[in-house]
Amino acid sequence: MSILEALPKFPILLVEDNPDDIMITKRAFAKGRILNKLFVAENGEEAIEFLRKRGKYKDAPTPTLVLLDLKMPKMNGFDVLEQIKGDKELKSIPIVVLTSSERDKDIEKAYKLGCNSYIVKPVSFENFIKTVVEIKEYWLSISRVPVK
Amino acid sequence: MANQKDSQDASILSTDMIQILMDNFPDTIYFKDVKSRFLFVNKAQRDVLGVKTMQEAYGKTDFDFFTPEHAKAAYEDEQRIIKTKKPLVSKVEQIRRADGQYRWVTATKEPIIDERGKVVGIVGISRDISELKTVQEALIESEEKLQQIVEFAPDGIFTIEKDGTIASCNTALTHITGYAKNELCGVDFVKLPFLTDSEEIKYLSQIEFSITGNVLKSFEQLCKRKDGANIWLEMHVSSLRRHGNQMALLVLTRDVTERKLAEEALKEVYLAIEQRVDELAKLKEKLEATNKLLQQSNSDLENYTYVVSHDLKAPLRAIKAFSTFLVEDYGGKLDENAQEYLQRIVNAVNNMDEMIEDLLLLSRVGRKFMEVEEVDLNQLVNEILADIEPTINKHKGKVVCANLPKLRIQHVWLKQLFMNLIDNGLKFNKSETPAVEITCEENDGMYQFQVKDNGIGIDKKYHDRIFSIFERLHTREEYEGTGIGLTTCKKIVQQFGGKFWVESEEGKGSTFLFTIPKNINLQKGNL
Repeated sequence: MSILEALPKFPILLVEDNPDDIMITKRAFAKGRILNKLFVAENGEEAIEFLRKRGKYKDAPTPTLVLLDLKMPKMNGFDVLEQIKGDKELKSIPIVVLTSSERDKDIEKAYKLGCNSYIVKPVSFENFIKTVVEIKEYWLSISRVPVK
Repeated sequence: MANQKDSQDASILSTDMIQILMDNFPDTIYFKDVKSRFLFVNKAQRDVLGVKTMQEAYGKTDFDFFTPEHAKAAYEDEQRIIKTKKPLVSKVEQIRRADGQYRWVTATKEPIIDERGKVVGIVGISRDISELKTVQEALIESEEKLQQIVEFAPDGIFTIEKDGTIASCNTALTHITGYAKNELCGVDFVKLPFLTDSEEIKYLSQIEFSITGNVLKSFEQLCKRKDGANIWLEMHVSSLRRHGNQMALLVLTRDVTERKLAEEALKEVYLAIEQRVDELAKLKEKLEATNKLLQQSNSDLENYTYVVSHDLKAPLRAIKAFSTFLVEDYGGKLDENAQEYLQRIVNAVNNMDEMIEDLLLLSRVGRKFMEVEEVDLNQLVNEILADIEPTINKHKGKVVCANLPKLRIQHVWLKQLFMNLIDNGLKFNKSETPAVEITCEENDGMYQFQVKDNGIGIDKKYHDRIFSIFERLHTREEYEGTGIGLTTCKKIVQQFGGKFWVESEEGKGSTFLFTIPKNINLQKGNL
């Protein structure tokens, strides 16, 4: 099985509440020719449900990578991060915080809670595609992630 | 006959032993007959009379030796003694001796009575008391002097006897208290009409006169004058002693009412001052609290700027992304007009993006703490030149710097500062050969930097405005920029503890000047 064929089997979960950003990320995946299946959770609670395969997500796959936005209503990115990294079953899933916050405090807090990368969303779409491709390459091609 | 008999009596006395005894007696001794004629005189009396032998005085009277006044008085005294048989005891009288000296003597004369009870003569004995009298007089004089001193002393003086009564007082005390001497003397000390109750008075009233130590006490006592006025008396109490025994107490009093009032006034002034100091301290506290609030509000504003500009970025990103999608997916289907509109949207978004970035940077100057490190400014300028190479090439600019110092400072902000100034100098420049010159002077504890360009310059009336946020003197078409750069520069310099200003005229280039203390004192929360 070639790498390209295997890729769709490594699904990615995007946790993002802003529909614009969801659409932009999806398009960046397409433009960057990232074939991995992209799932979307529109808030923190949904993300946790998805990862724990609860309710309507009982058949959901375990994602190979989570792209996590910080700013969300109710359960925010930090809460999600804390829950995932405090869960024996889930803590090995790499989490990339993808946010527009450049605050030192936010960055520090995210790393303390165990995020694996922290990336600031670029304004221009071209740069965003580049970033998404880099994330994919680093986490799904270069670095070795545990396969369950 | 009588004479003969008298001389017989006298001869009885003239035994050698009695003679010697009497001649060595310091007092004068003489015997006279009933007619006051000397029968016998001893050596001391012979000296007074100025005779060498007893024979020279024998049979003579006082009239032969003394002043008539004295002789007469003595004669009368003696005749009375003879008549009444009563002696004269210790009469003090003045005599003139034969040598002319006046002396004071005490004379005692006794009648001599025979076995039949008849007065046959008198015996006299006189003692010279001139020296004693002088001493006595001196004593009296001295005592009078002392009394006068006491009397005329400006301070009130009184003495307390063993039984606690006032023995004496001077006039000053009556002036001070308004009470007459007869209202004070003889009064029990504790019942003195001008005294008010106090611990000290209680103590003095309990003093045991038998104690051997000196009573020495000074205190201030509130008193009431006879006219009802309150006065303060300073009292000094001491012992009057005789042969080591306490005889009385001497009390010196001084009216210190004025001093006391002055002290009280002073106390009030002090109190007032203290109150002012307290008020000042409170005011200072208030000021500090206000200051803290202001700092808080400043920091809130910085945070606010950050959050707002940050949140503005999200929709901006969406606008930018979706206009890109529009061009990519439908570009071919749009006419020229639509294409231009789209391009204008993209340009506007880019401007806004730049502005937000600059705003974020500005808000970070006050917010983000950075460690101080050693920065070689020459090296820093080279770094900047490498970073802005495209700008330099575009404007064909030149950056010159003299030998610049090394500073212990925050690298990021110093770089931002010089980058903005160099960039401005080249950007706002119409010269064929745009140039920026950086120099530095050192003067006490400060570095003063100059960043000079040969650009378009700034009219004096706009010098204040250029440091205001979003203030632009030119349109975007003329010169690019967000209007935040110089605001950021000024804020960075202020955070370092320096000053920032400009010297410029329109068309003659600009010189931006700023100081940076050699030891910048950063606290967390600044930079």
